Amino acid sequence: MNIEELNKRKVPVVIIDNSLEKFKSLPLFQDKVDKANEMLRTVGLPKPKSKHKIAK
Amino acid sequence: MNLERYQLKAEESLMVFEFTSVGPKGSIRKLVRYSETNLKNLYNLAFGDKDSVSGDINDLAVSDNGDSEKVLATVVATVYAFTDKYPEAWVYATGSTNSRTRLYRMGITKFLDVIVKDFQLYGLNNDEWELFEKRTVYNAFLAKRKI
Repeated sequence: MNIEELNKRKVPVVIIDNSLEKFKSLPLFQDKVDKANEMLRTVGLPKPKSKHKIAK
Repeated sequence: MNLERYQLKAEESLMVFEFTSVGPKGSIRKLVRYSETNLKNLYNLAFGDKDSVSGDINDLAVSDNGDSEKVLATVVATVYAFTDKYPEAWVYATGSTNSRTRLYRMGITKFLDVIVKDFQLYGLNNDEWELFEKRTVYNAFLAKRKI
């Protein structure tokens, strides 16, 4: 598989770099996570099979 | 969606990705983070610029590096990689500003036909999830890989 073919793949080739592990324990984007949690608390998840507006 | 995208790095769990944007403003390292939320299997997707000196992440930075489409395509590629590893995951995303959310919506709209082949895609409209439609303003987005 050449570079062009690799670039066409929807699932990308990912290089594993364990130096990124340190970011897992940091509270990155915590304000966004907090906002997401607040929204999810009231709105919840959609029903996967629904075709139109999803009831809460 | 045959778009140019940047080479991705990640740690083994694929919860943290990194790539480098290259353009007129130089090389800018970007970090993509999937965070657990209070709902099981639902992850918040966020990304921002990584300060090369302090290591801090800034999701409000306007890089203006002339490659926003390539950056978005790379972030979308992380969604494919992440949901390949966690097929039951829901991925929630919203912009850090209204204009950025609008940018994401425009990017999604552009490639909607391809995206819906692989994902159930919803938009948050008036505090309700609805299937994503073009020309509708959404406050947030939610995607789940079709299995």
